[in-house]
Amino acid sequence: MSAQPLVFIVDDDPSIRSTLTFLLNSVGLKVESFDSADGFLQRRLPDAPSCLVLDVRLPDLSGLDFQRELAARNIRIPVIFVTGHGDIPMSVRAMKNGAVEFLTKPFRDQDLLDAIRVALERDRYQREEEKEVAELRKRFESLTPREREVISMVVSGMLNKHVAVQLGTAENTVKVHRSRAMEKMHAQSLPDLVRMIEKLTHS
Amino acid sequence: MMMADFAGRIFAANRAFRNFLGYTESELYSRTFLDVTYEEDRKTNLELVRELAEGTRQHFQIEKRYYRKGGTLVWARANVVIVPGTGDLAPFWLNVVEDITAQKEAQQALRKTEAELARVSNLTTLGELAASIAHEINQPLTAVTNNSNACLRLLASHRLQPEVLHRTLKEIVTDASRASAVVARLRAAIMKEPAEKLELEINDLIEEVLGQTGPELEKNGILLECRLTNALPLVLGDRVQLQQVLLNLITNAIEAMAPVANRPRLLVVEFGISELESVLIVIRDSGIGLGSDGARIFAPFFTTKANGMGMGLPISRSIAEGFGGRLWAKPNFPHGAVFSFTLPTTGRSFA
Repeated sequence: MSAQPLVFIVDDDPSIRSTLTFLLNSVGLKVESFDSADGFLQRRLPDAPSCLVLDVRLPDLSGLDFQRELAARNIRIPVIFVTGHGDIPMSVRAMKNGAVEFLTKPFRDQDLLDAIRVALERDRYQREEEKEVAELRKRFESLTPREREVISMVVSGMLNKHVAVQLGTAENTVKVHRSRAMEKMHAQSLPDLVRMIEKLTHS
Repeated sequence: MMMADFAGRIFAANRAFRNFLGYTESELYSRTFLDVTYEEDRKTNLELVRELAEGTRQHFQIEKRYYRKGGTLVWARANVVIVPGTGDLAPFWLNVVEDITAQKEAQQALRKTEAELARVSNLTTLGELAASIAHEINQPLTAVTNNSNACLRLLASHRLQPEVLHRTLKEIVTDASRASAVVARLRAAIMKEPAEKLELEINDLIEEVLGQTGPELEKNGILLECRLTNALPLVLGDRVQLQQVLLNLITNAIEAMAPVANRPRLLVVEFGISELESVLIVIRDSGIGLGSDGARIFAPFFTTKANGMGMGLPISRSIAEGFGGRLWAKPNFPHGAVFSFTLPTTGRSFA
């Protein structure tokens, strides 16, 4: 899957929107721009790496509030802030909340393009992770309760015979559950399975 | 109420008048009305009295200041009429005096408060203005930069089409004009064209500014040394604008001294006459100094302060230059900075 990356711009100044679009188009990036935070929120995000170039000073709500709003809605799009009057406390807050970059207008175009590259990379990685986690979850959900029980004990480092004692069953039965679970999870090895379970529990 | 002869000698005064000025009868009768009149009001008072003597007027009313015994001043509204002579009684002046000291003080306090308010609101406006200017200038500049960079990139990859270039250049012109319109608006707002040009006494200005910054100086443990010269010529300028400059320089000095802990925090304010008939104002501090930023401090938007806009000094300089003066900075010895500020004089001095 190689959907084309998309850069969103939210800025209330039309000449910033159009010139920024032109600049990003000139290096082959696809752009969609909005004049308000609300306009952006109406848009369903595409299944493609994307990032948001956001003006801190928006008429409907401040960029920092918008960033919080995105987090509250669980919209995990990397944000690059641009501002005409950035002060240090503001940029610190933005970065702490996970912004990729905080640029002061007028910025060097290379700085913006670098930030966009980082942001798209971050989003691509995140999307892959999410996809992988979703897939793993689907696989995990196909396990029987017993299989889940067995592998959770196995990944915590217990040997088959200990699992058998704990569950009050034969060691061979444990082996069967375990190999079925490995198969359903598409795990090549025990470390592979451990990594998968870790990913699931941490997402 | 009091009476005086045509030579100005007081020869009768009732208890109320005696109490008003705090003199006994005999003390008062050895004096002329001029003796108890404040210097600044004597000239006007004499003029009116002469007109009475010459018969060009029958009475007058004047608001004037009297010296009380001991030298304090009181305000009075004096109603003077001429009482014609009869037989061997020479004509004399009858003066009915009303004590308006409290009223005057209230007025002055009010005027001072108003001036204070005007200045404060003006300073707030300046700060807010600077913040919005930064944004408004940056917008079109960013647009110009974006457009130019896009063209450069397209040009480098041989994809720049003439009609795209044409359209973009037109946009660049529009955005550049937008930026210069903001600058024009800034100038108009700050310089209040046409700026008020009044004859001002520089000592007054600085005293008011020092009065305003007093609490801040005290809070920061700063010693203030004022070397004011009394007989300075008047300068031409706008009171509020010049106070903004002085306030800005003093505030900078205070902030520059805030981190200093191992030596006295000393603010010296000096005045003198400089070359070419200018008044020279020097503000010297023992702060952290200009360091390597000395050359850039007058550049717009250059700041070393966490929350600074970098507009204070460039605006101050443009105000100084607007009145034909200069503003510059030098390192102080051994620590701190010296800001010097000249203003051309009107050639007249404060009487």
